[in-house]
Amino acid sequence: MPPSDDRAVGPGALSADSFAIRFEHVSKVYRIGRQRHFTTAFANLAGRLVGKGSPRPRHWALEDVSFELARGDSLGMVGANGAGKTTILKLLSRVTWPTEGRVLVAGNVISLIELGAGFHPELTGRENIFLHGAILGVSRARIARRLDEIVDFAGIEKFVDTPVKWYSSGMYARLGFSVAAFSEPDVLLVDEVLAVGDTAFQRRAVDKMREFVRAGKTVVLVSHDLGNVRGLCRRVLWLEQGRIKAFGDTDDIVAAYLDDVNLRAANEQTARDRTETRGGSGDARFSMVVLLDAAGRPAELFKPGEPLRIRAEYRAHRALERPVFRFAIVSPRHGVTVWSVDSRADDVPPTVDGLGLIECTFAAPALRPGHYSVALSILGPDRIALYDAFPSAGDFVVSAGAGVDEDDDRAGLIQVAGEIRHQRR
Amino acid sequence: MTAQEITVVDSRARFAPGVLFELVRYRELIFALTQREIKARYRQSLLGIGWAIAQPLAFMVVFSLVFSRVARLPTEGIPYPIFAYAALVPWTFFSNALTTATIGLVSQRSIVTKTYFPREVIILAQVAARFVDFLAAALILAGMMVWYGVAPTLWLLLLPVLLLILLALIVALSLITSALNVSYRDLAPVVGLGLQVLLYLTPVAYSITSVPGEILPLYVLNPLVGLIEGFRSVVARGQPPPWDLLAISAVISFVLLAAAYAYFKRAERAFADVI
Repeated sequence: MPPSDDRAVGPGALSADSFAIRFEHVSKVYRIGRQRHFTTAFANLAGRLVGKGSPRPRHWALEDVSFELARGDSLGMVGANGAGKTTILKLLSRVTWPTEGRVLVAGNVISLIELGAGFHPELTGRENIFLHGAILGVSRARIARRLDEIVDFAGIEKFVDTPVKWYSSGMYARLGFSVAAFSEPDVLLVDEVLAVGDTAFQRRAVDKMREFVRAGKTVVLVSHDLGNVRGLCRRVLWLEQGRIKAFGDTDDIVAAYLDDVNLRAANEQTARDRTETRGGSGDARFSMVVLLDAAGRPAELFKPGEPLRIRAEYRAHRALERPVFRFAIVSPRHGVTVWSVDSRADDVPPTVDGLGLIECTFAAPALRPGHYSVALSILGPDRIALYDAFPSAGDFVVSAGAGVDEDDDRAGLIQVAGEIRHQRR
Repeated sequence: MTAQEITVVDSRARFAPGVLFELVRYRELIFALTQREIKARYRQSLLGIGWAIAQPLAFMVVFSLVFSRVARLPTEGIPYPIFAYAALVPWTFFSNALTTATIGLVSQRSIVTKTYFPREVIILAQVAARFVDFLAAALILAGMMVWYGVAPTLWLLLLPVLLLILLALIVALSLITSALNVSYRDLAPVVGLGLQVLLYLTPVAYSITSVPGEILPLYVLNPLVGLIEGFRSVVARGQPPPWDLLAISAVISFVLLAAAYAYFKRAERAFADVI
């Protein structure tokens, strides 16, 4: 039986399938710059009738998106702002309608897109619990059954008969989360809501979601905190400008996504630095800098421990006595020089003039995943005279690889084996 | 693994009458939103439900002064306050319900953009909340009938039929205006203006017998004419409603309701995007 013309096909039609979510060639188009007034609408209609009106610009929020999530799996979504993550959540919660294609969801969907959206300030906490439940499509009986748990989880026992207008924003959010969490959804949609509430509550909320996942329910999570995505989701959907960039197991996709984010940061940095003025007297200038991998190919993405060769071409505009070439690796994010080396001990001719080529191999960058810059300079023999300072000659990314630690500022910059021993005294 | 209901949202799906069954599933939400509307409206105001009565009562006093004392309109021997109030109660219901329902979707923006439910639920809840006001005002009418010694007749039993047609008309118009108001925010003042004009095109302050015969064929196309005269007949006159006029009202109201519902369900898909 084709589920053709009915909006919501009842049980039976497709229930033999074992998916939780299925998108079939889904596109979503938004019209932008829509006029809001009756009068302008008439003017526009008249304009179109005489063939003068221009069609409103369109924005493809999603374009031909197809994927399937198996029942029992949880989905994380990553991508830049405007990539289409929220549109997917809105399609799943049926708030918005697809322009093309079909969206299929198994079971009832509860959305945490905005906590407490349906609360009425004049009503008490108890009244709002039932109201919010009804808005989420949960029966009064089910809410009544779990009322104590909801109140307890939100930690509002004392205020349950107080109008919610007297609540703090934290209490508001906690109550919103609790109602949704105890409404026994099959699919729970979560959009960055964990940013609200205190840390203790955030932890309880994450625990609650873990509980869901363990119970075989589906959590769909949009979060910039990749740690939460890793901790909660088995599968990750990576979106870019309304299209699927990648879909697969969490470790693979998150690692690839991190590399991509770092590479973009690196490219942006390079573009920014090109416009910056170079330091130094200009008696010598680097003209071309290339980063090479172990095989001698130009590269910007390196695995941890992979050798990195910096090849730099320079031109000395006059004869320079015993110049010193300095190579440094800088972390722009931390603003520190991670490593540097100069050419004093190496094989550089006593005088240079005109074009020259210099290479530096950085044996095994035991760097943590992230984005790094290469800084080059040419100094006088006393290392005080500065001929050229090229602060961001090139940028590279150390790949996250599967199973490495979080992309975390506190994790430091270098990655070397460490051993911890503990003794009880 | 338990069999779960699969929800299919298809971009090509057309309006199907099956959506009516969905309303049954969401009856608790209609009730909850109605309750919220009433509670929230009256919790903060001292007069509470009295506001529901104050409006038609005030109109009745003004109408009594202007039309009965100044203009000396014929009222077929019925005390003018009863004559006017019997029409003002359904009119106030119509007018207030349409006014609040028109901005209903926009005022519930926060839930429309966050969660799914059939959007007509909001309209039905707004109308239902105003229906409670109507009942309160009708209670006063009953009291007035006792005071003026107007005896009820068996024709009063037709009230549910009249109410059903009135509800169909209110819901039909509300579905259209609320959906339009999502895209065009300046519709609410247009509705307000329209209602002011409509009050004078409807036999509320006067009787249909005062309407000149030559404009009558056009005049009765206003579906409120048959309804308001019907209310006045069964309540104040103790007579059958004008059947022919009521038939016009019923046909217009129910045809409009079907068309409005189909339009609303079609427009509904874009509400969250443009609201």
